[in-house]
Order: sequence, then structure tokens, then C-alpha cells
Amino acid sequence: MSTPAWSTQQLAEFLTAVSSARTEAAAALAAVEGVAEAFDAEVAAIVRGRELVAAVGYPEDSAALADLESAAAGAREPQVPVPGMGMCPAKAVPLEHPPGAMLIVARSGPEGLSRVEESLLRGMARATSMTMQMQRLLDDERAARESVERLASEQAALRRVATLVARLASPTTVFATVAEELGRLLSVDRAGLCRYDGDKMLTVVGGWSSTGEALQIGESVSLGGHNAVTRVFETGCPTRIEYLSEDSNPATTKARDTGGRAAVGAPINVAGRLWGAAVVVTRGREALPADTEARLADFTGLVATAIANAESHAELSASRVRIVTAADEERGRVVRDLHDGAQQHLVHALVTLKLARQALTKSVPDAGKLLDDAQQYTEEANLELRELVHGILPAALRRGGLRAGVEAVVSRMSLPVSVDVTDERFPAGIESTAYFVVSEALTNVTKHAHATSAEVTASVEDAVLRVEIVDDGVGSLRRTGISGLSGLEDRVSALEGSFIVESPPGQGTRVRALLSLPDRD
Amino acid sequence: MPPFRWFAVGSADASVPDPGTQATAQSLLYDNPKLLIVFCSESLDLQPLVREIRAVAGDVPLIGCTTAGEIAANGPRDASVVVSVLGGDGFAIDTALATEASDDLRAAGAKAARCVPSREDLPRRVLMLLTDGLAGDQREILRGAYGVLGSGVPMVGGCAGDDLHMTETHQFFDDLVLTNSVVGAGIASSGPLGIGVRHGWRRVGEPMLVTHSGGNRVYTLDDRPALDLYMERLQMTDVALADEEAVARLALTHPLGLGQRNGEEQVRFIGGADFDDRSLSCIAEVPQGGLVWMMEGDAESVLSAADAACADSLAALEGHSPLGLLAFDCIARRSVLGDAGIETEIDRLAGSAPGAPIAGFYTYGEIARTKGMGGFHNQTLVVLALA
Repeated sequence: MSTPAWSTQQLAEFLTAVSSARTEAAAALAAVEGVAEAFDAEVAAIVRGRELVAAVGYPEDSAALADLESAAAGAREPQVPVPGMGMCPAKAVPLEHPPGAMLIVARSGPEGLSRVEESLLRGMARATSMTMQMQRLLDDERAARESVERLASEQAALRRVATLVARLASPTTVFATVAEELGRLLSVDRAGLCRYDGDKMLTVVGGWSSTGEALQIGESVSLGGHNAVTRVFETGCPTRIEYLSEDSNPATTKARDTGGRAAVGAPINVAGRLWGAAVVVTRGREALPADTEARLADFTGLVATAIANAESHAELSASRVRIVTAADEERGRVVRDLHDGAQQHLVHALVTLKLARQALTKSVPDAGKLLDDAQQYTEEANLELRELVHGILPAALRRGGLRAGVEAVVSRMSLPVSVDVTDERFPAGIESTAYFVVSEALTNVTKHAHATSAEVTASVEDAVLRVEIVDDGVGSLRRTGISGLSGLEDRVSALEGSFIVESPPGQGTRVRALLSLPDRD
Repeated sequence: MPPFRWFAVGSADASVPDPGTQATAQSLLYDNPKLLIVFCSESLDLQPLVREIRAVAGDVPLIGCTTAGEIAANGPRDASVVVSVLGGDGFAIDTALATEASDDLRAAGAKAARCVPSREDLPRRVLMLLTDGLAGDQREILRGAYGVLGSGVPMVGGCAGDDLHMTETHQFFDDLVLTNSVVGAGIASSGPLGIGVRHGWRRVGEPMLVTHSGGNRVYTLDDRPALDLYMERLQMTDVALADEEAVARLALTHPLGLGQRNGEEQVRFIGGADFDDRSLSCIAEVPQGGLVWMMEGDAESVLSAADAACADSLAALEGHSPLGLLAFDCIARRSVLGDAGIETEIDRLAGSAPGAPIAGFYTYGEIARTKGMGGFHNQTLVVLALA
């Protein structure tokens, strides 16, 4: 083949190869490969300053950048190392794009490129520049479009979640929807939400699988081991892990047994505290994209409010039910106590008085004893009524305030309890709520804590009444069930206060109520 | 005393009981085998065959493939198995496997290339690749391997065959019988290795412009349906070809040639055709915009090329006597030579290295990269000489 024909053919083939590249980086690689193949050369590279844009001929990740830079810098008779061949003549020509880049080719053998080959190389450089520039523009446009599309997808997902919350959907539905939206947005195999419950436990509250398999929602799992939920709990930060085959912790085996190979997790913070975590899991060999942590964290940050609202709605409804139920039960107790106690004594008093009247009419000597009996029944009824009133609201609290009420409770306890309570008076609702928090907490100390001592403090700080009861018992107190604390939480929440129970196993219990004081600003 | 190296070959016909056992037993002449290379006919029961071989050889790394014919010292064969073994402290060998190659040919080549040992005491290195030639553009596989190894490690090998059915080829890796795969053996040796590459074809007539091609398919030549122009150049427009296999058989002796810088054409094997869109299917890319020629060869040119390839490979041994030769011989050359011609070819190979065992197979494509970046060939004989 004549030289011009060969040149034309090589340029045509080169243009075909380079122009079919889909990205700027692919065009650069196609260019260096095309140059090497056309010139039967071992090494070809595009270098821009200290940046190696593309290269062939060197083993993976070991291009001779310094020598290529030197050749690109315009050495008079440039040479570069060709692996297996030693230093060989090279030729460098400038590219118009990227600005400052050079296209370099090196071939084994004593001779460099011929004049015809140099001409061809310059033609290839021009074609490379044009293609890379065009692909850069397309890359930028593609990146911008993908960014907009991603943002639109995320906004649509958030809108769907927000709509559910606005329609007062149950937390179960909201959590399931959030998990599904996460899974689809990030194109993963599984996605899940969990809530940290204290005592290093979590509850799975929402889940989604790309294969549609049912997941165990509501399951409680202990934290620990090498997994995303534990790492997020420990650090409060987004994390990425690969599951280890030798890790037998329940949280890890649960993910690994369903085919999970790696995961990314991000914290869900609600009202400034770590509420739970969102986790996405992949089964495939490819790593999750590098931006998964950031995208997951952004999304959970935005849905945290929705999650909090969904839970608040549900909790509010449940609280209302509990309050109504508690009120009904209290009414029932009062009715029973009145019927069984004071009313019985009053009935006896009435019957006795009637008998006394009859005795007086008939001048029977028993009239005096009958009157004594009637008086006794009446006094017993009065006592029953007094104790009933005390159970509803003790007199010490009504007359002496919170400190007096607390001291009255403590005085009936055999356990040593230190008291440091302000003697300030507060509105009745706040005093009674604070009193019942102390009373119920000390009841739990007596019944369940196995404590040797306790401490009650109450003080005002920044317009908040802070009531705290601490014991040195066995801990592990739960807010629901036999402890009776859920009713207190409702009472405190009704005053827009905060109710916190900290009861780690073996480390005692701390019950804290924070009640806002009106008109203190 | 230099480290000991050895190379041995065993073969057995499919008609004998336990051909794998017999061929392997013949080849395990010394201790410390490092690599088994198995070439066999598609007509054998492949999984039991591999089990037989492994039962004799144990856990020695194994690579291999099915063929369009086998080559051993006793000549070319069909329906047989040839087992060659490299062994001794003078070799360090590692193997690699890439499956689902057609999903990403470049990645498959890269994965199969990550097995070449780096030993200061064993400075001569080569990567041997056995590929599924029906999986796609073989040049992409070599580009992937080149991206890992660079120019410092030559490559040699061939594309598996299936007795010209052009349906499905198989590759072997240890206990596995696979398809759509690339298997690699990285060989580091204390002694020199030589590679020879020749084809013996020549161009005929005027060039044709590749006006539309994509992947491995040539759609139009000179703006005309490629199959139609091809048959016209062969002066066979009145011949109705029945199917792709018929096209492949015809094309064995009439490949295409791509122009090279050094004037010698790079041959392209035509594997079939699409009778609907009248395109030609090749085993590697034919670049759009390039020029191609019809190629022809005869027995003498092909045999001369075989002599030259042998001579080139032996010359690279720096005066060392060869331990043996591995030959990757295109099936198309067999069609030109005929049955008697291929016996002559193998005799000439054996004669060039008296006493050295020979093994090889008839391929759907050959791999040999010693200079430059390109390394995929068709209608070519590639010889690897070991010393």
C-alpha cells in the first residue's frame, strides 16, 4: 500500500474509533490506543502538565509520568521508557483540548517517526482535540441533566412521603414508604429503617426489597458486631461496611443471611437526638457508588421531620386514648371506693339513726348506744372520704406546694431518700404533674429497683422546672407495662414537657421531667 | 546450576478407553509439574475428560480449550486430546479465569492477565491466553490484557474452536468446563521464550473500502452489501450458500486483509454471514473507513510461513535448545493445506526442533503480541518456543 493510502486509511480508522467514544475519558483512551495501533508503537499517552490523562503500554498504574512529562515539555530528541525495550525515541505533539495537553507516542527500535507519520500524528491530534472537547461539553451537559433528574426524583420521593404524613398515615405506612423510596432512589437490593430503643437494641420499623420479598418489620435486634446500624449508633455518622463472614452478631447475620454483601448507613436525627438509622444493602460484587453516603444522609435528613411527625401523630392519638382510659378508670375507682367505703358507712349511720329515733320514741334504753354507733359510722365515712380526696390530690401538696408533697411521700418510705426540692409554688397543674412523677417514680424504686438509696431534686432553670429522681438500683426499667410510667409521659406531654427515662441494666434508673413554666420569659 | 525446566506432551485418541488418563500419564514425565495445557475435540465428553486428567495430575493448575483439530508430535489429529505439561523450578506459573467474557471483553482480558508472576530470578515472562472466539471482538480482550501488563510482557495463545460448527466453544480451568470465557496462564521462566508469527497469505485485486461496519460485522463494502461484493470478488455469485457454516468453510481460504504500517496485511477470518442484512461476520473488528483486500494463499506460501514462524521463535532462544514448541495454527490454513499438507506442516515444525515435543491446536484466531500494541491474528501460525 502506498504511504499516502496508508495514512488516509489509518486516519479514517482512527476517526471512527475516537468518534464513537461516549465520554471525554473514553475518547482519550481510544485516541492513545488508536495511535499505538496505527504506528505499531508500544507506548502512547496524553499528558497535561503533571496529569496523566490516558496512556497505554505501561503496566497497570505505573506509567512513567516523569519521562512522559519530559517528552511533553519539548525535549529536543525526546525518549521515554518502553517496558521490555528500554528508552526509545518518542514524538510529542500538542492538543488544542484539553489546553496544554500533549499527545506522545514511543516505538521500539532505533528510528523515530517518519515525516509522513508525524503528519499523520498531527492529524490524529487534531481529531482527538475536537472529539475530547465535544465529549467534555456532552459530559458536562449529561452531569447537569443527571443532577437535575436526581434532584427531581428525590423531590418527588419526599413529596410522596410528606403527602402520607399530611394524610395522617400510620408510622408503619410512612416507614415502609421511606424505605421503598430510598431503595428505588439509590438502586439498591434492600433498604431499611430502624429505630434505636435504648439498651443497645433496635427495632426494624420499615423495609423494602428489590425482589419484593417480605421483611420482618417490628423485629427487635441487639446492636453489636461489624454492621452499618451498629457503626451509625456508635459514631452518629454515615458509614460504609462490608459484612464479614466470621461476624456472628445477630444484626450482621440477619443482613448476611439474606444475601447482603455490603451496606451504607446514615443516622436519622430527630429533635437533635439520634433516633435511628437508614441502611441500604447490596448483594452484588460492585461497590455502592461513592456518593451513596451523602445521598442517603441528605434524604434521611429531609425525611427525619416526616418520620418524627408520623410518630408524633400516632403517639398523640395513643396518648389521648390512654388519657381517656385513665380518666375512666379513675372515675371507676372513685365510684368503687365511694360505694365500698364511705357509702356503706353512711348507710349504716342512717339505719342506726332510724333505730335510735324509734328507741327514743319508745323510751328504749338502747337509744344512747345506737346514737354512739351512728356517730362512729359517720366518722368512719368522713375518714374514708378524706383518704379518697387525698388519693386524688394530697392535702400536703395543696397546702404546702411541691416540696411539702414530696416530703410527705418520702416520709412514708423505708428507703433513705435525699430531697432537694425548691420551695417555690407553681400553677396547680404543674405542681400536681411534678408530684405524681415523683410519687410514681418512688413507687417503682420501692417495687422494682432493689435500690439502697434514692435522690429527688427539683429546681427551676431557664423557665423550666426540672424534676429528677435517681436511684442506685438494678436499672432495666421500661416505660411501658408494669412501671406505670406511660401515664406520666402522657401527663407531662399534655403540658408540652419532656419525659425521659434512663435505665441501663445494672446502672440504676434516672427519671427526668422538664416542665415549661408559663409567663417566665 | 540453572533451575530445572521441563516440557512434555501426551496424546490419546477419543476411541481409546480413558483418553484423558492416558494422555496425562504420558505427559507427567518428571516431578514438580507447574501447568497442564489441554487441547481436545468438542466431540469428547468434556467433563469426564477433565475429571480423568485431574485424577491423574491432582491439583496442578490446568487451562485448555476445545479445538478445530489437535496437534501433537505424531501429527495433526481430530477427535483426540493433547495434554502438555510445563514443570520444574525454572518455571513459576499462575493462572486466571474470566467468565461471562462477552459482557465486557476488555475487563475479561484484564482479569485473565492478572496472573503473570514477577520474579527477579525468572525474568522471561509471557502470558498465554485461550479465549472463546465466538464471544466478540477479540482485540478488546487483548486491549484489556495490554492495559494490565503493558509492553513488557508478550502475549501468545489462540481462540478455542468447535470443529467448525461455529456454535459453542469451551474453555477449561482446573475442574471447570466453561464457555464464553477467557483463561490465562502467566509463565515466568529462567530460560528464554521465543514467539514466531507468520501467515503466508497475499492480497488479491483492488482494495475495498469498509463503508459500514460495527462490532465484528461488516455491513457494506464500497457501499454495497458486504456478502454480495465478497461473493462477486470470488466469482461465485451463482452459488447459493446454505447457511453460515457454508460461508465459514468458503471463507477459510479467502479471508480479508487489513493494511499495516509495515506493508504486511493483518488477516481477518470470516466466521459467517447474515443472509438477511447481507453482512459478513468476522472474529474481530474490521474498522469502518479502512481498506481491505481479498486474500489468498496456497500450500507453498502457507508452508513457507510455517517454516518462518518456527525459525523466528527458535531464533529468539539465544542459542538454547528448545524444550518444546506450542503451536496455535489457524483452521483456515488447514483448509488450504489439506490433509497431506497439514501432516507436512507438522513434520516441518518437528524437524525445526528435533527431539523437542510439539503440542497445539487449530484455532479460530491466534494471539501473538511481541511488538507494538496489536496482537490478534487470523489465518496465521503462532509458535511459542520454550527453552
